[in-house]
Order: sequence, then C-alpha cells, then structure tokens
Amino acid sequence: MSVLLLAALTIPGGLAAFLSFGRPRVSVAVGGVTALLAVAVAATIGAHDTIPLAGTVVSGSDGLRTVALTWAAGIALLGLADVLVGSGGATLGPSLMALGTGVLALSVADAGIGFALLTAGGMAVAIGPLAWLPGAGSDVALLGLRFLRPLAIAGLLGLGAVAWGASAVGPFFATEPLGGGDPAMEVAIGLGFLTVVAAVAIRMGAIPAHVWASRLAEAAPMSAVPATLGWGAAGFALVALAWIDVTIAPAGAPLFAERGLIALVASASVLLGGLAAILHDDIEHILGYSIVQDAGVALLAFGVVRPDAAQAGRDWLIGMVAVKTGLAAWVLVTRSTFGVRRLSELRGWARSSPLLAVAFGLVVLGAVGLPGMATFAARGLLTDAAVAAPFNLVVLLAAFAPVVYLGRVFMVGLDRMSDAVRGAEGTRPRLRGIRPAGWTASSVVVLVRAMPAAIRTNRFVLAAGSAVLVAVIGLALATAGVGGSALDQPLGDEPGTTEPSVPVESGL
Amino acid sequence: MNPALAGVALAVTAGAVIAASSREARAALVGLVLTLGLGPFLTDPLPGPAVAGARVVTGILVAYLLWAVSAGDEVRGLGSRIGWPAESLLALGVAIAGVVMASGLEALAPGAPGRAGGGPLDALTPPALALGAGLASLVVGLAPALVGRHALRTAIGLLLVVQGVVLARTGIAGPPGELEQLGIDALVLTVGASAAFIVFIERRSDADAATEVALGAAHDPIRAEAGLAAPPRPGTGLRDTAGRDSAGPAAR
Repeated sequence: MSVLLLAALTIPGGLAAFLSFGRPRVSVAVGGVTALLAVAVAATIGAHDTIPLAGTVVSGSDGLRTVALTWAAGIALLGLADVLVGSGGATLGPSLMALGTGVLALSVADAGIGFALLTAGGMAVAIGPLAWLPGAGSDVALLGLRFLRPLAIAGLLGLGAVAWGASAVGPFFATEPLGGGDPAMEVAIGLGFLTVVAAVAIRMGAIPAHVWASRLAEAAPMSAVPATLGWGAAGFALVALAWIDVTIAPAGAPLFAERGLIALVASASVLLGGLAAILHDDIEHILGYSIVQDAGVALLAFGVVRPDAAQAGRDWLIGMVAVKTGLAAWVLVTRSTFGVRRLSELRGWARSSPLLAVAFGLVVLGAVGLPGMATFAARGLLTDAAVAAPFNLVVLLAAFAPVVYLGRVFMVGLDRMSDAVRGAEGTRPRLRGIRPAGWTASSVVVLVRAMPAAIRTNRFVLAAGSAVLVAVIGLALATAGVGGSALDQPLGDEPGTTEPSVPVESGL
Repeated sequence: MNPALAGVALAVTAGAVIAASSREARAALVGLVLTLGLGPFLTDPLPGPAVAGARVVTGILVAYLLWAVSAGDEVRGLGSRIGWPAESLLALGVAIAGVVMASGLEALAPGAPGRAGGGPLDALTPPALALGAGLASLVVGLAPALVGRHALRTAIGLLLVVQGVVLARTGIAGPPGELEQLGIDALVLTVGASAAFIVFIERRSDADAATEVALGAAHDPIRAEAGLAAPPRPGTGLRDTAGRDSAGPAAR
C-alpha cells in the first residue's frame, strides 16, 4: 500500500509543483512538502507490503525501501540546495514525478510496465526543467530533442525485447529445453539480450551512446542530472537485470560473442569515461564523464549472466547513483558559491569552504571505495567475471580513475585561492549582524522574523550542509549496498501470479 | 477476418501516413489522433472501458497539447520529403509484411493448428492486424522521429513510433495487461507533453527572433529600406548543414 501511496503522492504533487513554477513560492512549498512526505512514506515500505493492482501485484521489499528512501531524501536535499542557490527548484516537481513512476516500476512483476514507467519518468525530469530555463531559445529546444530521442529509443528497445520474450518465438514457448542446442533460438536469445543491453547502454549514457548524457550534465540544471542519469537510469538497469534473470539466464546459452561485445563496450566506457574525466577542466564535465564511467562498470554486470554478478550489479548501481548524487550536489553548490566551474578558476575552494570540502571528501571516499564496502567488492567481482585476464586488471585499474580526477579537484581546492574564490562571499556561517540586539536577548517572534535574513545570508553554507548530507547518504549506501536484503525478498514474487508475458519476478 | 478490426487497422495506418506526410499541422494532428485513439482497439478481446477510455483521452490530449502550442502560426518542417503516395506504399508494404509475420508466429505458437488451406483474408486475425498496423506506424514514424529537425515533426514521429511498438507488441505477444496499458498511457502522455514543451520553447524563440529582427531593421534604416533583417545574433536558432545550432553554447 505504501508503494501506491508514494506514487499517488509524488506524481500529482510533482506535477502541481512543476505546473506552478511560474509562482516560485507556491511551487517550492508544494514540492518541498511533497518531498518531505515522500521521505516519510518511503520509510514505511516493507517486505509484506503487497497489493493487487489492475491485474498485477505491487510489492514492497527491504531493497525497494532502501532505494525509495535514498531517492526521496536525495530529491529533498538536492531540491533544498537548488532552491537556495541553484535554479530555484525547477527540477523539484519533475524529480518527484520520476520518483513516483520509478518506485512503482520497481515494485511490479512486469518488465514492460517497468520500462514504460521509467522512460516516462526520465523524460519528465530531463525535459520539464528546460521549459523554465531563463533565456530559453532554439538551442534549448534542440537540446530537448536530443534528450528526448535517446530516452524514447531506450524505452522502446526495452519494450520490444519484452514483447519478443513473451512471444511465440521467445524462450518461454520454446519447444525444446533452451539448452537443447537449437541454433536459431540461440541467435534469437542473443539478439534479445543485446537489445536490452543496448537499451540500458543508451539510457545510462555509456560509450558510444554518451553524447546526450554529457550534454545533459553540461546544459541541464544540475539537480536534474542525478534524477535522469542516476536514479532513473539505475532503475532501468535494475529492471533489465531482472528481466535477463528470468528470460535469458534459464536458457543457459553460452552467448560468447554477445558477452564479448558487452564487455568491450563496458570496458571502453570505463577506460574512456575515466580518461575524459581526467582530461576535462570543467567540474560539470567531470561529473558527466564520471557517470559514463560508472555506467561502464554497471554494464559489466550484463556481461556475466550469473546471480552473484547480478547482485554485484545492483550494489554498484545503487551505491554509485547515491554517491554521484552527492557529487552533483557538490557541483551545484560549488558552482553557485564561487560563480565559476573551471578548475583553473576554482583554486583554493576547499580552503574557502570547509563544508564543501567535507562533502567532497565523503564523495571521494564513496567513489573510490575501501575494502569491505559493497561497491568496492562489486567493482572487483564484475571486472574479474566479465573481462578476460589480463585485461581485467587494466579495466579494474581504470575503474579507479576517480582517485586521479577527484583527487585533482581536491588538490586544486587546497591550493592558493584564486580571485574568484577569494571574492566569493558567504562560504562560512555568519550570524553576527542579522540581529543587532543579539540572538539571546530577542523574543521568539523577533527571532522567527530574523530567520529569512539569516537564511539568505547563509544560503551557500546551508546548501553546502545539504550537500554534506547527500554525500553521507551516498557513502552509507556505497558501504552497505542493497543486494543481500533484496535477494532475500524479491519483488512481485507471488507464486502463481507471474505469467510468461510478465517475466520479471525480482526487480530488486 | 473481423471487418470492424480490419477497418480500425486501416484507419490507424492511414492516420500514421497522414500524420507523417501532411504539411499542415491540423491534418497531421488529426492523423495522429486517429492512430493514437484507435490503436488501443486493435486487440481481441477489447480492453476494459476504463483502460480504453484512458488511452483514447490521452491520444486526444496529446494531439490537443501539440495543437495548442503550435496553433495560429505557420508550422515549419512538417511533411514528408518523399510525399504521401510513397509513404502510403511504404506503410502498405510493411503492413503486409507484418500480417505475414503474424501468420508465421501463430503457426509457431504452442498448440496452434496452423493456417494451411485458409484463404488470404483468414490471415487477417486480430494479432496480424495489430502487427501490420503497428509496423506501418513504426516505419513511417522512424524518419521524422530520428532525423526531424523541427520539434513538432519529431514529436509526431516519436508518437507514431511509440504507438507502433505498442501495437507490434500486442501483435506478437498478445494484449498488454491493464497496468501495462496504463504504463504505456503514461509513456505516450509524457512523450507528447515533453514534445509540446519543446515545440513551445522553439516557437517562443522563433517569436523572439522575429521581434529582434523587426527591431533590428527598425533601428537600421538602410537595412529596413532594403528590406533586410538585422544580422542574426548568436543562439537564435540558425543551423548549419548538419542541423547543429550555429552558436548556442549549450547545443555545442
């Protein structure tokens, strides 16, 4: 019930916040209240939270609660930072709509529903904020088309593969056991497999389908990046992983060529995404290409059709999305605080703003990882399992590129302050001067009246604090993962209710 | 063969051809309404009234949204380069191929008796009609969806492709469940609404550019007398031969 409640809350609430953006205060109030309620409702999702809906079953699980709670908290905190120093909350409404559709998609036992809803949510959050961008022109319209096409293509490829899986020529209706050596069926399974992985690669922005993702990171409001390329894309990949578990894995087909191709594309994303992040000087580009690199590691989970690889893939996807939400929050606040986005102009940022330094340190820890962390183990397992030796070592080494590109950002932050950084105001908390009579001598009413001024004065610090919280959540999820709890309680797993046409029985 | 379903399939295919090839926004959107509104009825059994109603209303709403943001002005970029006769032939050929594919799929289905000895009209089963109309809609929508330079044409193409995939899915794997129908409904609505926003942004920038050109000409009497517009400013939508915006930094 709580899954449905979450969807019923966030989809209309997000729509209302989006449509009322012409009146910013109303929009922020509606979006903020909806986001807070979403956090509360997401926390109540449980393993026994099952309800029949329109011919299928909507089920909760511990894994889904973790994802929904983290996603909702990320939206609330990133939305707060965006309201304080960013685009004024233009992405809050679309992000909430994407949350509602995404959680609903992950809770049903039907990959077709999952792909359709996640594609719809992705479009809402990628295109919606563009309508409110100041100075929107034909170049923005062109950007919108460039975001819309890959999202639509990915979703339609997913729907097409699901339709093939449930058709008379799909594996469910094969006349022989799938390992029976029917070469035509093996080719068909391979093509279906590649179609879904291609959809995931496009949706996540992996190389060679990375152009739209890097443009999104550069041109869209920063708070839209995690919602589009992070949570929505991770949900899409989770649905695909679950569909492969049910449709492709039981066939037992070797799929050597297909797995080799996937490993090649994934390795290219890991290597080139990391290299591009190292070479770029713009923090938005660094974020964009780091997401491309993460997508490469996630794709490795599709190169091995094995339960442990699927679990590692889930851990990696959710952990990295949470960490990169923290990085996006840091980019948003840093760019707004100092008014620049090139590393050459950001010298000394960490010395100027200790809170941002803390947030970034937590992000670095989550992105690089330490032994014992879920994402650290997942990265090692996926590279070992999907890439042949000795190339797996090269890919694993490249997957540690965050040490270089994030380390470089940190070192720049410890350097002597640039003019832009030195000229920035409000990087440290400031309470003196807001109430000339002093805070302790005033009545409560006077203190309350002084709050807006205090918030305005400290908006960069508050936004940095929000980024710290997002980074803490990211680090926690990267450490704990979701795999174990999710596998114990698969989604939509009501015996007898899953049909061949709705083949997903474990979204998370 | 069910004559009513065959008529619906014909109307859906004709709507797709009209939507993809018409140079007038009104006609193109009427074609789109036909395809989106009648598509859900190409199943056997028919969907429930709530689901069918939702799909039909969504189709009309999407077309209305696109009409609302593009009405009153001349719409650029609509129409097919190869013309409606060629689009019709293409759609017809693909639809026939779809019907043949569906017959083959039916023969492969477990427990299927096969269709040996039946007449040509017997091949027009509901799944075959859905697959034929779906593939026709998909194919005529592909070019505008993938290479359309203007938002409205791209939007129409994308919606035709979405509807085509959904119908093809119905043809090869049976009708979707109710929740999947609603998921598809959400997808169509989001594609349409997103595209409408993009059309709105594009037309707003066109209007701004026209105002700037008029103001530029007014401030430059020599150019105004010669009937020339002011020189374009960066980011006003001029595109090079590859379709890229010539100046906007975000588009680069």
